[in-house]
Amino acid sequence: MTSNAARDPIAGIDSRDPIIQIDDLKVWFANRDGILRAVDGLSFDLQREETLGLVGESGCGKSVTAMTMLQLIPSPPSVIAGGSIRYNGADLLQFDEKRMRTIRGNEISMIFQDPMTSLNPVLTVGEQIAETAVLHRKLDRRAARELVVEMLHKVNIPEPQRRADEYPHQFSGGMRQRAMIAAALVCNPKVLIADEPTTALDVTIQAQIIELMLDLKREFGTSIIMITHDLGVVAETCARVVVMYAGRKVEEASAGELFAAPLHPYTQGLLSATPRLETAPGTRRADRPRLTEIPGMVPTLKGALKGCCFAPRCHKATAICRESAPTIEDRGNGHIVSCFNCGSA
Amino acid sequence: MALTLAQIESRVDTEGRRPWWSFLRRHPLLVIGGVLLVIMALVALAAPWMAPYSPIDMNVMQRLKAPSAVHLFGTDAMGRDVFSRVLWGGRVSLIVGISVSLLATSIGVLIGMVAGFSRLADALVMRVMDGMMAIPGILLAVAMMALMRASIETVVIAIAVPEIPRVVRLVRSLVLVIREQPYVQAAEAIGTRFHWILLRHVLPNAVTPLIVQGTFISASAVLFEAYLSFLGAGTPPEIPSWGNMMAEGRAVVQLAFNIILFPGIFLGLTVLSINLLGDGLRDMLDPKIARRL
Repeated sequence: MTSNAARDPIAGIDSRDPIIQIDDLKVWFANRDGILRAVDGLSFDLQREETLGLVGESGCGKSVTAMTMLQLIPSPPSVIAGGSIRYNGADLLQFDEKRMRTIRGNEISMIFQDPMTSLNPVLTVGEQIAETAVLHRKLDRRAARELVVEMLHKVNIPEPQRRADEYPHQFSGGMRQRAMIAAALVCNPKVLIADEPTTALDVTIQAQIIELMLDLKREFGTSIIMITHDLGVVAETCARVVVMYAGRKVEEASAGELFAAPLHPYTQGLLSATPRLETAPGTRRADRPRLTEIPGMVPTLKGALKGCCFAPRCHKATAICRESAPTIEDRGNGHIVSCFNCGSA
Repeated sequence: MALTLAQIESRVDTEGRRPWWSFLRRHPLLVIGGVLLVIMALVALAAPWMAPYSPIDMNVMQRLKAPSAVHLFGTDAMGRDVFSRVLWGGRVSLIVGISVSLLATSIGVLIGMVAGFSRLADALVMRVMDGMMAIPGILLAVAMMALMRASIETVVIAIAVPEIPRVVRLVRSLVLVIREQPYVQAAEAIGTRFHWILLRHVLPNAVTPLIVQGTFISASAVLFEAYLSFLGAGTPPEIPSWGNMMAEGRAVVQLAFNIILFPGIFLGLTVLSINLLGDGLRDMLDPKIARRL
């Protein structure tokens, strides 16, 4: 593809190309104390109609990556120190604000974590869903209204005609998240970034929301980036998983392989820190397997890290881990890991 | 007060509609203040038809008369009918009250929004506002009277200017809170333009405290107009206002108490009604105050 063709998202799209290609993305925050490397050399692809999990603990740069994709992080303090985010071949980081606005909500949408505060309390739910449609599709009020009712119906909200005129406080948490999903999908975006969409919901509602997202994904053919720290959600929804640690990708594999044979010590730690319900009922508390935690703390992201970012907490760490950063290696089957000490799969 | 289930049921309309008088019971302050203010406004508006005499024609034969059937509130030192003057004076008070609160709130909202959104503007604007807050309204009014001819416009400006920084501070703090709300970020994430976010997401969420602040500004403006007129730095003497009527009545207070009494009563009632209205609005618009049955 020539660079000219790559600039135009319409021309020259190969349906086998990934829809999103993030390459060596570096997002740094500059403040008085120095530079904070929130995302440091992250690369991954999102295939068409794929659900990709982005996993890692708090502060590892998942949300910063998501926000950077839509250029929603105020700059300063953030600096994009390098890399590219290609959407259908065109680098989103080169887009100006005006062009970015035609992408947001229209081509790439986002669902936020907290449905309780992500809806404006003084506007009706219908008005807020219509906002996206009016903005990008230039629909008149009546057409937007019909679309809103249709979307609310699709996200399983009963009596959509009446509910569209209600305010967010009249909705329950699960219903608000459904409304947020309706607002995100109203323009039929190609990519949906779900930033911890179920974290603020209780478990039964979580299952419903995930079910709903997968249904809609099939219906609309959307590609989803599922940002979460809940490995259960990943197992249920994602085809492929990227594990992040301290702003870097440490492992990437298909979901099945990652859960069956995690290679990176951090991924292994994450998995063994997940509580399991498989213990037979009636097992005495003392007999239950203890949850293993990962010792130590997430490193401060200030300044450049020498060596592997996980080395200080890693039980397999050797001298070389503290000296130089491991490169990203493909161990076959698209199972990618960044570690010196884990053998091949 | 504990209610039985039957009592609660009798008060809740199953159709979801409430009888009209339940509004009065839930918001008594609002209703009393509103009704009182409407009466004041109607009286002021109807002054040309209600007033039995001209408010400015003097009648030396009828000086300092006590209240009677002919002169309901008596007459002043120039023989003018106090009742007619009180009715006309209400116009000045209400015009000043309304225009000061509109002027101060609208300018304050504009400046406050800018200060809330731009750090550079914030640093500059807020220092200017601090300076403006240090200007005493009375001195400003006196200075303006000395520079220009006294008129209602100068009174409005003199009262509004010191109020602006208060509104700016309020709006700025509201904007600082609202712009960090996730729904503002969500609006950005769907591609909403900046000015649309301001108008549709930030401003509506700031309206409630602004309405309340606006009514209180209005009440204090009515009072302040009276102070200024009483001091001779306000409404020019040819226009009757409650303040300058009391100022003129002061000289003869031992002979004719009524000249001060009646404008004072009307002034007090007006300020009271606006304050009741403001309190009532605050209670009604604040969702955190539980809705009583």
